[in-house]
Order: sequence, then C-alpha cells, then structure tokens
Amino acid sequence: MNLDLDDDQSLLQRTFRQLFARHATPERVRAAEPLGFDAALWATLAQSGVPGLALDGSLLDLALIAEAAGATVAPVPIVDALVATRLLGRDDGLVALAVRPGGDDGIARLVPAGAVARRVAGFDGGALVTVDREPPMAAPVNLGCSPLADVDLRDPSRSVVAEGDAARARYERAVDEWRVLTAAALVGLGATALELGVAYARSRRQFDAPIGSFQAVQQPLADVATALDGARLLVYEAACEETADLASMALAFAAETAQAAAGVSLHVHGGYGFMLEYDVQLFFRRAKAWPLALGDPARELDRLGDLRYGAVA
Amino acid sequence: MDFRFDERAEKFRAEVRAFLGEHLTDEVIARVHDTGTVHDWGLHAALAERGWLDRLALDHAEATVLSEELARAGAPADGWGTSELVAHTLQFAGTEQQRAEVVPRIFAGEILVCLGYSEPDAGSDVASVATRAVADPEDPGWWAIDGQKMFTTLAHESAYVFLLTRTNTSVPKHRGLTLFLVPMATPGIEVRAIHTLGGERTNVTFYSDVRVPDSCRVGEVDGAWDVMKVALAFERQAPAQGEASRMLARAESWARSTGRIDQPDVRRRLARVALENEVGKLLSRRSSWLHGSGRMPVVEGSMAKLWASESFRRTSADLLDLLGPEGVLQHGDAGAAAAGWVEHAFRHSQVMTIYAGTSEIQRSIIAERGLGLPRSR
Ligand SMILES: Cc1cc2nc3c(=O)[nH]c(=O)nc-3n(C[C@H](O)[C@H](O)[C@H](O)COP(=O)(O)OP(=O)(O)OC[C@H]3O[C@@H](n4cnc5c(N)ncnc54)[C@H](O)[C@@H]3O)c2cc1C
Repeated sequence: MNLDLDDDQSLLQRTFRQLFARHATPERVRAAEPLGFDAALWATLAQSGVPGLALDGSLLDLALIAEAAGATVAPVPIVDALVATRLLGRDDGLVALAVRPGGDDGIARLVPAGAVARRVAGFDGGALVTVDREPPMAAPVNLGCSPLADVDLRDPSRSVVAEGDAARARYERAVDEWRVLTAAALVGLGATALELGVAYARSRRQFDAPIGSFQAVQQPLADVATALDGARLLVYEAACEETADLASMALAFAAETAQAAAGVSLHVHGGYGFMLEYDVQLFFRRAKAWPLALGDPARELDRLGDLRYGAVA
Repeated sequence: MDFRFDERAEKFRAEVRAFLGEHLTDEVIARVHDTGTVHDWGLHAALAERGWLDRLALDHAEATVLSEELARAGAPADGWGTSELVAHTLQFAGTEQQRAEVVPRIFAGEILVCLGYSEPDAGSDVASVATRAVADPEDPGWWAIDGQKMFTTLAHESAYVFLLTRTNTSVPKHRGLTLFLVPMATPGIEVRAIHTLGGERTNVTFYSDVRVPDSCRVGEVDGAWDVMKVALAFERQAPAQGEASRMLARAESWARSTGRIDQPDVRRRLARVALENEVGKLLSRRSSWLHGSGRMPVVEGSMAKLWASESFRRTSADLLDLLGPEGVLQHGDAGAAAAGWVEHAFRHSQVMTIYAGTSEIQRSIIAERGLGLPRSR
C-alpha cells in the first residue's frame, strides 16, 4: 500500500493544475458559455499532448488531469476526448464518446461533447462505430453549459471499429473509464467549490464575527471536506484497480459529494451565492449536470447491485 | 500509488483469520453479548502470546490488517484499546518505573488500564474536569484524590485507571490539570455499573480520599494537557468501520437466504451500504497509512472516525428498516432476522458518534485545523 503519488504523477498533477489555473479562469469559463467550449484552451491543451497522452498514460494519470480540469470547470471536453482516444487507440484530435448506446433509430441523444467533437465513437446495433462530424454545432441550452448534441450513429460517415462481444466489452470498458474520469473531474469541482465557501466564510462578517466561526457554518463544510477526501480516494482506487464496481461507486459518490460541496458552498454565500456574478454558481450547475449525461446516478447503485449479486433474470 | 496490501500483509491477514477462527469462539461472543463486558481475558492472552497487543510495534500494514480483521469479526477489544493507548502514552510521558513495570504487563496481556477522563460535568470539554488531586502538606510526596468519573469503561476489570485530575484552580483550565496512573486496588475507589442502550457495560467510578504516591503521576504537575493532546489523538480510530462491514455481510446473507436479494430496492440499498463502507475503509486506511509512514494524521483521523461512525449510524437504521418486522427481534430469538445483529448494530451505532470525541468535536477539528476556519470557541 502506498497512497502517495509518485514523482512523475506529482509533476503531471502540478503541470495541469497550473495550466488550468492560468488558462481556465472564471472569466474564460463565462466567456465560453453557453456552448461550453473554449477553442483556444483546447489548442493550448493540444500543445501539452492532450488527448494523445491518453494512449500511453495510466488511468490514474488521466484522472489527475481530469481532476485538475474539473477544479476550474474548464470549458473543454477533456474527459470525453481522453476516453474516446483510448478507445479508438489513436489520436484523432477532439473525439468524444456517446456514453449511452444509440436508440432504435441509431441516434445517441445528448452526447457530451457531441456539439464540438469531430469524431464520435458509439455503440449501435451490436457494433462499436465512429461517425464524423462538422463542429461546432448548436447545443441545446442546458444546466451545465455542456456542448451536448444528438449524434446519428448511422450517419453516412459511419465506420465500424469492432463487432460482437469484443466490441461490447471494449465499449463498456470505455464507459467505465468515462465514469472514473468524470468522477475525478467532479472531485476537482467539489474541492474548488469547497475552497470558495471556506474563503467566503473566513472573510464575510456578520454579528461582529467571521461567519466561519459559527458552528452552523463550519460543520457542514467539515462534512463536505470529509466526503471529498473519501471521494478522491475512491476515484484513485477505481483508477488503479480498473474494475466496474469501483467505477460505479466512484461516479455515484463523486456526483453526490460534488453536489453537496457546491450546494453547501452556495448556501454559505447567502444571497450572493445566488447571484450570477459570484463564481460558485458555475460549479453548482455543473456538479448536477455532468453526471446526468450518463443518467440518474442512483442507477449506478443498481448496476453495483447487479455486479455484486448477479443480474436478475 | 497502490491500494493493495502486499503479499506479506495478505498472508498475515490469513493468519489473523485463522487465529480468530480458533480463539474467537461462539462462547466468547455469547459471553460478551450477555455480560456487556467488551473484553475477554482468554482472547486477550492469546493475542499477547502472538505479540500483537502493541500495534505500533507491528509494521503498519500488519497493524491495519489486524485491526480490520478483529473489528470485522466482532472481537471484543475495548479493554485492549484503552490499555494500548495508555501504554503508548506512557512510553513517551511516563516515568522510567511506569515504562519498566506497567507497560510490559499491558503488552503481556496481564493487566488492563481504563480511562478516567469524563465526569458528570465534563465530557466534550474534558479540560474542565473537577476531580481534585491535592498534595498532602503533612505527608510530602503523597496526593489525595477526590471526585467522580463517568463512563469509566472496563474499570471493573482494570488494574489501573489513567486519571485526569485538577491540581490548580487559579490558572486557566487547561493549565491546571495533572494525570495519574492510579492502581484500582487503592482504598477509596468505588466502581458501579452503568448499563447502556448498546448492551455494553460501562461504569461510574468514585474517588474519596484516594491516597497515591507522587510516583503515580504521569507528566508534569499542571502539565497534563500536553500529554492529553497526544493521548486523545491515539484514541481516534475507527472501529465502526469493521462493524459496518460485518453488518453488511449479515444483511447480505439474510437477503440471500430469504430470496429478497432479487428485489431492486433491496439490492440498491445493500449496494449503498457497500459504497459507504468502501469510503469508510479508504479513509481509515489512509489514516493508518499516514501514521505508519511517520505522519500524524490529526485531521485525517477525525475524518475517518466521523465518516465511519456517522455512516454506520445511517446504514444500520436503513438496514433495520429493510429487514422488516422480524428485524426488531433480538439476538437469541430463533425468528430474528439476521440473527438480531442488525438490531444490535442499530442500538450500538448510536454511541460511536459520541465517544472518543463526538461528531461535532471531530467536525470542529476538521473545520478549524483542516480548513483553517476561525475558532468557534
Ligand atoms: C459507552 C460509553 C463509553 C465511554 N467510555 C469512556 C471511557 O472509558 N472513559 C472516559 O473518560 N469517557 C468515556 N465515555 C465518555 C465519552 O467520551 C463522552 O460521552 C463524550 O466525550 C461526550 O461527552 P458527554 O457525554 O458529556 O456529552 P457533552 O459533552 O455534554 O455533549 C452533549 C452534546 O453537545 C454537543 N457539544 C458539546 N460541546 C460542543 C461544542 N463545543 N460544539 C458543538 N457541540 C458540542 C456534543 O457533540 C453532544 O452532541 C464513554 C461514553 C459512553 C457512552
């Protein structure tokens, strides 16, 4: 057992934290709304090897990058691109993954990054396929300002990557990796939301005292800090072990914890937290929206039940 | 980063399981359940024989595995827990004589030491204790102790009480405290049983004109708080973690044996407990791993204790609902769902958020020492 990052991982973490802190400022996050895509930031990331480094990095490496991106709610679909790049086994630039299979009509609905990706991988009719796109496309206005779009997996550009059981297994593994990296991004998001709340509680004074000295303010923040540490450990464990049950646990718990962190932090800001001008709302909205790209997080528990107790006929 | 124990630690886990299979008999479990004394001398001696009572002397992975397995199996360890933490405290703050005579007997499994901190009017605010120790002007080198301690768990089995007293009333409360290691056989000590919701027995202890030599003192006169800071940190472990995993295993076998395991709500709720337990396990392991790698996990220890105990309280309540009407039947009744152990967990879990620092105190530590929020008191 060793719960420290190694030197390479620490360096990677530091590098991406600095990159996002410098380039994914709240001003740029706002400027990229409502589509939720900053092309210049994506170009900067490309210079740092994103998403190609997904091909030889470990899942833990990628989780550290996703966590750093989540910490600034960076307006780039880094999780989607890393996961899809790994799935396809080559660097095709901005690619994305339809995390829910196509419907009867072959259309995958509300694909995260579907509006900005030039290639989307998905699962349709028993096959792992890709289709090509001409971004940027319009995205429906949505809670998380995510570049969502429906993707027709039977588009004429469709190319079959794999078929049969192997295709399904590859796709499911990719969706599990999406779970882990989305969970990592949510942990980063939650940690920054907590920092915002703590900073505000230290400086805001009422009743002649900093509000952070009131226990009714302190105690929920302490609960959130505890859950966030637990969620981070769970994400790292899921990234190291690469098992389906840990991937579901990580996503379910990171989602609820990021939402709690952003919710408590917003509340600690009082009425100012409700103003668009304050940054906490950027985090609050995305905490709810990101995991919903896959579906109700409670379904992760149902899946966990199936994994632990066997599927019910 | 590696979340697994190495092969040696896993081999050790197998050894501990075999040991428990042999020594943690049904009779031991039944006796603990029936008497409420969460200690067994036979098991304790067997642990001592293996050299396992001093967990700081084991490597950290082994210490963690040992604690996990004992808690998971439901081994009675309250007496061990308090005695071990006093031994560790004596190792750095005790006199040469205490280190030479008392500590080895603790780790040999011959004696227990109980904790005499809490009082009727001093709980979370432990530094406000009123039990008085007065230096006898007529008999230099002797102290006379008077007062009352609440919740002196295992006092009825202990050779010593680690007693927090007030020796100075004219200084701020933290600066007027002195610790003593008092033999329970000293005249003037009385022990009365307290029975609890969880079934475990604790005690109230009375001290009237208890006369002890200065050689019983631990640390400086009026200097107990520096010792207490370390002693209290030793206490913040998370035994709730192991109990929670045992409870889940029992609820799962109940669900399998009744066929309820196929129902979606049952699976979802069991899965939820499994998730919470995984989080608790990771927070606990991080705390012990930090400890084992030479760092003092103060905030991390509070987080592990807070999460495990609060989660255990939540999940035991939910699993008891899941069990339905037969869930309320108690251990020993043939019709009790999950042999009554979830019902027991539901009662017992309430105290885990109270002793060894209540959840509110843990959150204060996390908020103030971890997050850097201004002090609330
Ligand atoms: C079964 C059992 C075994 C025990 N064993 C031992 C033992 O062996 N030795 C020993 O010395 N003690 C023992 N204790 C005592 C235990 O440590 C105390 O019960 C605990 O520290 C809380 O103190 P209290 O009960 O006086 O509650 P209080 O301190 O009176 O607290 C009551 C409530 O107020 C809250 N509260 C208090 N202060 C604050 C604050 N500053 N901010 C916010 N909330 C606050 C608490 O969190 C709690 O919810 C045991 C207790 C039990 C029940």
